[in-house]
Parts: sequence; C-alpha cells; structure tokens
Amino acid sequence: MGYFRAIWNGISTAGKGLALTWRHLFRKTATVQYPEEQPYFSPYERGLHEFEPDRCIICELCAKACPVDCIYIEQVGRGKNATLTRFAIDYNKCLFCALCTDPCPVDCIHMGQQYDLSAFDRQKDVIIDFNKGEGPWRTALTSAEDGTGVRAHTDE
Amino acid sequence: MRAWLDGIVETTGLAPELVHAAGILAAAVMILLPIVGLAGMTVYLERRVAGRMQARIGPNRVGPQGLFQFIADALKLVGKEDVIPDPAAKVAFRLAPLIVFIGAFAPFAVIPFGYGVVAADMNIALFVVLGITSVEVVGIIMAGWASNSKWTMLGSMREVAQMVSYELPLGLAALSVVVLAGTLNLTTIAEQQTGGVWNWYVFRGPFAFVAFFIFATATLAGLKRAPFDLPEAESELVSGFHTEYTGFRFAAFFLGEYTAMILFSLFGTVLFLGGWDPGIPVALDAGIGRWVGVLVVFTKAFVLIFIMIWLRWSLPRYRIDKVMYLCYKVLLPWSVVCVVGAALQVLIGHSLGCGWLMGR
Repeated sequence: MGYFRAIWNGISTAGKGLALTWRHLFRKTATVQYPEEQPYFSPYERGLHEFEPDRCIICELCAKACPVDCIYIEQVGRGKNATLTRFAIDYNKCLFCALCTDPCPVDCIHMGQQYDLSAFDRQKDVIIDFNKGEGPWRTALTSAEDGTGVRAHTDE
Repeated sequence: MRAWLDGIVETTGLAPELVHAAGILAAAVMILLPIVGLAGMTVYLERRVAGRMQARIGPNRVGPQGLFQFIADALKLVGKEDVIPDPAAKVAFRLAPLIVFIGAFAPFAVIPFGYGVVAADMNIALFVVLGITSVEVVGIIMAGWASNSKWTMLGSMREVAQMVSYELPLGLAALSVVVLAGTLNLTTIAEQQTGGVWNWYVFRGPFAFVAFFIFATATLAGLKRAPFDLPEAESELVSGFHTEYTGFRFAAFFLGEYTAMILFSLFGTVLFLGGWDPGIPVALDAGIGRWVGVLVVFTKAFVLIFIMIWLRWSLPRYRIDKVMYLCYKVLLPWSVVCVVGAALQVLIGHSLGCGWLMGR
C-alpha cells in the first residue's frame, strides 16, 4: 500500500470504528439489574420443584423415575388411609431433569421458575420437605428487601 | 493575582514574603482540589461511556447513578497495604509516583481557565506546559527500573520511547499555532481567538486545521491512551510500569494519568478551540462573564475528553513498530509542513494586511 493510501486507510477505518461505537452508545443495554430486575425465563424453565401435597396419592412413581434417587417419601397408613408425612427432595443430588414430573398420574409435582438458590447448611437447608408447606428457599430479592443481605438463605 | 496580593501587603502591612507564600499555597489548593475532583469525574465518565459502548451499564450503585464510585475506589486504594518489592530500588520506587503526579499537576499553574483566571500568567506558558509534562517520562522510567521486574522494565521502555517520540509532533503542532499567534502566552493566544467560531485557530486556514488533528493524535500517544496504550498492554505486560505498585502509590499514577488527560484537553482547547470563546461574538472577560468563560473552557475540554474515551473503546491497540512509523513517518513530516505552511500564511497575511490570516 502506498504512503498516502495507507494514511487515508488509517483515517477512514478509524472513522468506521468510531461510527460503530457511536451507534452502540444509544443502544439498549443487555444488563439485567439482577436483584431488582428478574431475568426472563421460558414457561418450561426447570427451576425449583413445585409440589401440591393435597393432590399427591403417594404412588412413589416420581421417586422411582428419579435417576439420582433424590426424592424421599414417607407415609403413615396403607391404601386409602395413607397420609403423606414427608416429601423431601435432596437438592444436593437433584439434577433438574424433570423426569419426576412426567409419570405423576395426578400432576402434583412440576418444575417451577425459581432459580436463585443458595443456603448456608448443606444437610439442614438443601434437603427440602415440601410436605411442610412452601419450600424454605428465599430469593435474593426477598432477602435484600428485608435487609438480611443479598445472599439468599433459608427460613428457620 | 500578583497585583491583588501586593494590595493586601500594602493595606495590612504584613511581610510580603508571607503574603505571597500564602497566595501561592491558596492558588495551588484552589487548582488542585477541583482538578482531582474532575479527574475522578473523568474516570466515572470513562467507565459509563465504556459500558454503554459495550451494551452494559457501568457503575451505577454508589450514590446517584454511581457518581461516587470513584470516591469508593479511592478509599479502597488508600486503605490497601503499601507493598514495596524486596529487590526494588527503594528511593526511586518511592519517588516515581510523586514525579508523575507533579508532572501532571504543575502545568495547571499556567493554563488559563478563563480570562485572567490563571495562577501564573507567564509569557512562556506554552513552553512550560510542554516542558513540565515531559518530566513525567523521568518518573515512568524510574518506576519501571526501580520495580525490578521485566514487565515494568519493558513497559517503561516502550512508554519512554513513545512519549519522547510523540513530543516532537506535539510540539511542532503547537508551534504552528505559535507561529500564527506570535506569542507563547496562553492567555494572549486564547484572547486572539475570541469573537466567533471563525476566529478559532482550528478554523484559521488548512495548516492549523491539520495541526489540530496531529496535536490530538500526539496527545493521545503522549497520554498513553488507547490505541497507543502499548506501555500498559494487558495482554503482554500485565499492566506495564505500574505493575508492582499498590495502594496510594498506584492511586497517584492513576490520578496523574487522568489529570494529564484533563490538562491536555484544556491545553488543546486554549490552543485550537478558542479558549473561553463560546463561538458567538460575546465578550467574556469581565465580571460574571469571566466565570461563564471558565465553564465554556471546561465544556470544550470535556468534549475532547469524551472523544479520547470514545477512541479508546473503538480502536484496537497499535503494534510498537506501527506506533513509531506513525510518529516519525506520518505525523512528524506533516507537522513540519503545518509549521512551514503557517509561517507562509502569516507572510501572506502580512502582505495582504489581513489580520485573520496572521492570528490577530
């Protein structure tokens, strides 16, 4: 490349680069301000399980389907008198494959949207008993709002 | 300033040395504090603009819109342990950040921020700016050598080669304005440009116009900013000459860098972009207008700073031989052409009796 041509080339390509970044200056940013803003997830997102103990017929098909055996079911009584005493999922093991949701005859277990999981105690907090009601997990947002810090942790 | 101090001496009867020393100290503090604040603002601006250009937000957590991020960063740096490497040359290691800091701050004494708003109105102000800023090179080679590490050594070597080389086109580009203006006094140079956009030195003929772009490029290289940030090339040299520095000493380098950015933007504003002239024929040399003039100067300077930031986040880094090629084979010959052309322009202006061509 000749001398003058090289100079012109340098100036014009610098101009092109500047024009590109100038356009980017006014574009929408891709950042999601996480604790305040939640990212979008598909309705098929495989987050923390949702479990409806009232509908469960204690058939244990979900526990049998689980490839890592992370669902623990305990019951009192037999047949029609059976009552669920524990429906726990060990999130140390769970791989969020959603294979437990497919065989359920009453559709009482499905995958939820909650994804921001963290806890302080491996044994106490990570094995969740859904039969006690809601899962004990809290999102980063709720813990930020009540001043317990951005890091999510569990209720008592 | 001096006359005012003499007035104080006369009315109060204090020792003149004392009053003058106090005046110097007051002027230094009055310049130093706002400039440190502005350097912090420049860091903030840089990070926000960089963020937008990369489709992210940038700091927005500390204070309104992240405005106090730089204060938090400075506090963090001050709180850090001051590490001096064992094999380092201790005295030079400690002295280097000071020299860089002084080299970046001292020239503010002669920069006119507005008509008469200048700490020392010298008749060789332009020379002082160019001279003192080149002291920075000494600090940098000291830092690089004293750290006793190959990254810092290579970084400072590159830096010095680059800065010393680019001082030539920088000085010659400034010289073409001096040829037009016929003075080295920055206040006078800025004063000659008042009265409208057409009086700014950038727009007075093709030579000053080209000289402005040479000046801008050489400034960019002299400030070791991208695309000329070879001395700090992260991918090759960790972070160049200040690799071994921590805490407050690093903060001094960092602050010096951004202060030099403001300094050269102000310098370019005064030389080429009309100083305190707002672009329309309005006199800003008395009363409140003087402070409006200060505002105008800083607005122009910040436009230049924005362009520097914009360039940094647009262009990839040069290779060292290309940097030298650009300096010695492109910028230097063309800046000589600008000086000679400006001289011819002054001659033509003289023979035609046209003050616009001569810079009066």
